[in-house]
Formats: sequence, C-alpha cells, structure tokens
Amino acid sequence: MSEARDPLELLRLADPVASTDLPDGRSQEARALLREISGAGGNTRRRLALALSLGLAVTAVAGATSFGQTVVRGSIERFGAWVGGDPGSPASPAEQKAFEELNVEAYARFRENTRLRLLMTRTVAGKRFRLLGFRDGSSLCLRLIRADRPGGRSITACVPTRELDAPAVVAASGTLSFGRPEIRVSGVIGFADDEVERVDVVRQRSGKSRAALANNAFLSLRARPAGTVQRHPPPDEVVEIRALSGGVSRWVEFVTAYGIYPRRLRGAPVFVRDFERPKPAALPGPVQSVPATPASVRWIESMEPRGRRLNLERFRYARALQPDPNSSFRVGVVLNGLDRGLPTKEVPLCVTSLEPLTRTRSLGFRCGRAADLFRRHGAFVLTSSGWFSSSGGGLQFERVAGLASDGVASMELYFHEGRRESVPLKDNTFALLVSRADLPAKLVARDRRGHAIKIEVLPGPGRVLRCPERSLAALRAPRRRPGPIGQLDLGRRTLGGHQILGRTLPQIIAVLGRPVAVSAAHNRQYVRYGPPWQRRLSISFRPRRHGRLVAVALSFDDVNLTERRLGLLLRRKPAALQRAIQKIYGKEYELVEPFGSLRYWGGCGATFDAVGTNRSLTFGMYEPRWRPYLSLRRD
Amino acid sequence: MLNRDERRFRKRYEATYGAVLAYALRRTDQPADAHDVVAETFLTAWRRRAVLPEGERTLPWLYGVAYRVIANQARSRRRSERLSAQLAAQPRPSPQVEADVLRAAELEAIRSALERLDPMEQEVLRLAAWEGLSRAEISDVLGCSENAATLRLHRARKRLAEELAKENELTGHESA
Repeated sequence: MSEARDPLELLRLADPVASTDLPDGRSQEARALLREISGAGGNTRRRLALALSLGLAVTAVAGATSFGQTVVRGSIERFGAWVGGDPGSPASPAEQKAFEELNVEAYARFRENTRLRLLMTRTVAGKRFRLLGFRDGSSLCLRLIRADRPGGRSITACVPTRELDAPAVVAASGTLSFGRPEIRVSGVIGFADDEVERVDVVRQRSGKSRAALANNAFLSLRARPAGTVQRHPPPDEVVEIRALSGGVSRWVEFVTAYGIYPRRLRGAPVFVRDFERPKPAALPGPVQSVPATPASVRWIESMEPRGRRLNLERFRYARALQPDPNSSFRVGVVLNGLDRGLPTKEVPLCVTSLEPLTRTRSLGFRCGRAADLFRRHGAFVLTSSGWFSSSGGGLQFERVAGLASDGVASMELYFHEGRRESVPLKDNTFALLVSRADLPAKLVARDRRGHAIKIEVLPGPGRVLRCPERSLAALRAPRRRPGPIGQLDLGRRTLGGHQILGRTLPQIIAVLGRPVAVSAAHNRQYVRYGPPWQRRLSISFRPRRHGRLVAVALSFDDVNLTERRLGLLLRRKPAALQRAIQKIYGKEYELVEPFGSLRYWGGCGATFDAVGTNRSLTFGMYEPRWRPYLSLRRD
Repeated sequence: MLNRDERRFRKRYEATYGAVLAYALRRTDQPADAHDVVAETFLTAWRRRAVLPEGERTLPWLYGVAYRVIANQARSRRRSERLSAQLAAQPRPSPQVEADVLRAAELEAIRSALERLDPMEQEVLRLAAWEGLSRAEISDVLGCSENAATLRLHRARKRLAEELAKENELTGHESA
C-alpha cells in the first residue's frame, strides 16, 4: 500500500462491490420487490420486515467492577439442572435438525452429537420463543429462537463453566423481530444457580420486569413496535440486572447496550464516548517484554496438515485449528499465493476466528507477509485488530484468540482486578472466552524461560461520561428583556405569538422582520436573527410540499430566552429545566432522552417529543464551551 | 393500469435499484440485510413518491433514506462482527477478495483504517469514493450544507491518510 496515493483512490480499491455484477432495476428480483412495494400501499406501516435480528446492541458499560459493585461468587455445582447434563426436556426434532444443518455448514462446528434441550418456552406479543440449552465442552450454551423458525435468526451464546461462579450470569442480550408492522423483541438470556429465586431486568423506560426462571436459566423478553425510520420509538435498553438469592438482591454483571447513534435518530440517555485502554503499567502482570525469537511458525511455513482442512480451493493452505479441546471454537490459518509460485514465506498469512454455527465468518482478518507477520506484530497476532472490546455487544463473553509464533511457550491474561488466567495454546493458536465485564486485561506471551515476550492490553468496554450538572448559561450573562424572537410558548409552539415552524421565509419575515443573515446551500436555507456575532435565533428551512422551503427547526442560543409559563429557560440547570418541562408540559411533551451523559456526537442534551405531532424539543449544551441551546423542530 | 405517478416511480425505481443495492451491500454484513435495506428504502420512496425528487437528485435522496435505514440496523450490531463479516470471503459477491490474499490484505488495511474513523467521516468517504457523489449530493444525503460536506470530506480524507499510514506501519502491508 503506497502512502503517497490519494486515500480516496485507495478507498475506491476497497469498494466491496466494485467488481460485482449486480442485478439492475429490470431484473427478476427487482421486479418482485417492486410488486411487493407497490402492493404495500400507503396505509400499511411496515409491510416489509426489516430483518434485524440478533441485533446485538453495541454497548456502553455498567460493568460491575468499574462501578465498585460486589459480586458474590458461587460454584458450578449450584447449577443443579446442568450438573446431571439433562436440564429441561429434549428439543423438538425440527429444532434439533435445524441446529444440525446450520452446524454442518459452518467452518467451525459444535460436536456432532450435541443434543439440544428445551429449557423454557415463553410467549410475547403473541409469538412463542423457546430457550434451548446445550453443552459445548467446558461451556454451557443457550440458544433463543422463535418457535416458528428454528433455523432462523437466534441469540446463541456460550458461557465457560469457570465463569459460572456467581448466582446469575448473563450470556447475551439481543433482539429478534417478527411481523408486519415489525415487532422487535429484546431478550436477555443467562444462567441462574439453584439459590436464585428471582431475576429482575431493568430497562430504561419500561422499568423493572421479572425474568422467567427454569432449569437454571433465565429469560427476559420484551416486545415493542420497531417503529419506522422516521418515527423511532424511544430506546428501552436493558440497563441493570439483579438476582434475588438467599433473600438478598444482588447486582448481576452486565455490559449494558448502547450504540453509536446517528444524530437524527432518537438518542438515549447514555452514549459510548471513551474506551478504557489503560497502559500496561496500570494493570497487574509484567510491564516490559523482550524480543521474541524465532518470529515465525515453522509448521505453517512447511504447510504441515495440522488441524482440519478448510475447503477453500483458491488458497494454497487453509486449516482450522482448535486451540482449546474444551471448546468448538477454531482459529483459521490461511496462506495464499496459489498461482504465484512464491516461497511460502513470501505469501500472505492470514489468521481469523471461526465461531461455531457461523458459516460466513471472516477469512483473512489479520494478514501479513508470512516472513514479516511476527516481526511486525510481535510474538502473537490477535484475530481482532485492536478493536477488541472497544465497542460492545449483546454477547457478554468475548473471544481472545489468535496465532502465536514458535517462540511462545505460554500465554496468560492478567485481569484488572488481579485475577490471572492461563490461555489455552495449541499448534501456535490460542483462544479464551472472557467476560466483557472483566476487561480491561493484559495478554502476556512468555518464552520457555518465562520471559514476557509480548504484552498487549485488551481495552475495557466503553465508558459513559456524565454531563456536567451546571447552569446552562453563565449567570453573569446580562439580563435584558427579550424581543419577540426570545418569547417562546412551548404549549402553542409559537414564537412572539406567531407560528413559525412550517412557514416560508416571506411569511416569517412578515411577522418577525428581516433576519440579519440569510445563507443558502443547495436546497437548504438558514436565517439568523439577533445582533451581529450572536445567534439568538437560527431558523432552518428544508423543502417540503411542492419543493417549497419551509421552516423545520428553530434554534435558540439566547440565554434570555423566555417561555410563557417556565420563564427564563437557558439560565436553569439542565435537570431542573427537564423537570420543569415535565411538570408544566408533561401532557404535551414526552421525555425521550433524559439529560445525563455525553453524547457520541458531542455535547449534552435532553429531547422531548411533542405528543401526537411530528415536533420535538431539545435543549442542552455544546462542547467544548458548553454553550447552551434550545431547539424546536419538526420532522 | 398504472397511473402517471406509478409509472414515474417505476421508471426511477428501475434506474436506481442497482445503485441502491450496491450502496446497501457496501454497508451491510450480509446480502440478505442489504436486500432488506433496499426493500425498506424503496418502500419509503413509494410512500413518498409524490415528493421523490426528480432527475439527478433522486439517487442522493434514496441514499439518504438508505443511510437512515442502515443506521437503524447498525446500532444493534456488534462492531467486531461487522468487521469480520466485511471480510467474509464466501458470502460476499466479491470473488477478488478470495482470489488474491495480497489484495485482500491491502483491502483489509484500507477498511481497517476506514473503520477507525468516526462514523460520519466514514460515510462521507464512502459516499465520495464508492458512490462517486459530488459535494452537493453528499450534503443531500447527510442533510448538511454543501460547505459542511466539503469540510467533512476534507477532514475525513486527511484522517484516512493518517490512519492508512498507521496501518502501514502496524501491519507492514506491501505496496500494491
């Protein structure tokens, strides 16, 4: 890759569909879709299901240790239904067959004789869901499926038995969808020991609900309409899980879900901002390493037939290796250069994770010239590329896996709370399933003499940063009587007694006078009112009916902005303003995003939806100077 | 018998279907997901066919809808899965990736660098490089001014160049 090349030009090379013949608008499939779309009509909200399942929301953290919570440890023997190996009842033949079909197609497979057990069945929104369980070596696995689609999307997750050392352990959270209009079911699955009497799942908006509990497993389901692109329902993510055991309610480790929200979608009270990536010295274990030798894997260079062959014709050499005999997970090792006649050392060596049941897992994730790979990366290469845990997921356990050079004799993980775990290493491949709540951690490779030859920090999950609880506007800002552009009525949604949203510029000029500045870009327009260098009021215009530009957003930066019933708005503290809006205008405005934590896109804010309309109200502060704002907009 | 509105929609649908599908394939893990995005995008377009822009503005408008549809999906994806799946050689209609690992490694380095940018920077670059949109069209898709789109693109290019340099240093990919 040449550094001198234009990055856009390089990016064009990486276009995933550049060389693909795609069907055009007259193709059979395009015509079929057109028929379906035009048959959907205007009244049906969502005839076409958005197949968004196993939607494992990206997460921010509410990790136990980071919040100083105490987790009481138990032992595997307390999961009585699983100790005997036969929890629940056998899964149906259709479920077993669907599982086996998926398994046989995958690059990495669960054991052939894996028998699924039905742990519980629950119905939500008229749809039946079944929680299945099975063993995979030293792990217990759960699989949540729709009863009517046993081979369809699922939430499948495994937990190593060594991690079942708490009364309740969450395996995964995720969503499954069905119906038109689409209903999205958020599910949390996990294990609970014999002592657990109850598991409560707390969601942002709907609050606490009791999870179903049977056969040492728990299942929490909540169905909601998926909404539309334009009208999203407010988020209702799982934020906390508690287990009642021995009469005591205990906090259950759970990495909560939050994604990086595009600005225009409805936000959420918490957003991932910073990922915890401590320096090696801040974690237990060695802090310095010595260079590793040899920096190669000899058996790969000589293409020994280790592991299982991957059926990939175009590769010179492709093998799936099992680092841990107690897990069905495999590490894929691939050498290419089939037609080039190059020596093995000169061709790219790629290392990848192969998860069971996943047919389409990557090949060639971490690549480099075989001769250089370890010289450049050090004694081992992770199958992920530094993104490890930097964003979250519904799965609560993350795979630390990769390829180690011949110089590595052992590997260990040093967790931030002081625990040390040996990493299974076989045929130069290594893999360990770790709890996301236990990160950050340090992965250390040692040579035969015990010297650390590579240290890599695995970052912790994202952190939620709190917004400053301070007045929106500096109190020293001079007070003055607001003109018409500073007199708002949230109830009537008027400014200076006039409706502004939805009006054209000439109509607005007729009531507010001429703006101090007008700017236009493409099919947009912006106008500004207020003294020079201040933006007391900005109005944004967008094309609406017949291409006419109408006002779609009013943004106020005026600290003297006055509301008819609430008085001065932007001189209050955010929480106080939020409460005041809820108290005075609780019937007109519904809080969809409370003020609380920094948004991914910057700044802090709260959002209300005007009930029964397409209007919304947002207030907050922009970084870095924490300038206050309030805006009213229509979709 | 199709009415005038429907005929016009059909014409625009046929002209843009392939481009919208390509847009979706570039941003989703699985072809099935891409087809769902296309379906959802055109369903929105069908419902709003009365305001669907004409001519050259149709495609950016559709990209804008698809962008939001994908954003809706994307929030519930694990990043690691996405990264991995982007490189999946088998299901993607991209035989070149499998055919030449040297190239795959380079592509991976580029995509890896791209993934380290913030989502808006990534989208601006993709729209410019993969969809070949002008600044004005990018502003249409993203709902910002043309000036803002130009600025975002400039910054994103610079950031991508920096990340590519880092990637080069990290993985030691050879020159193509």
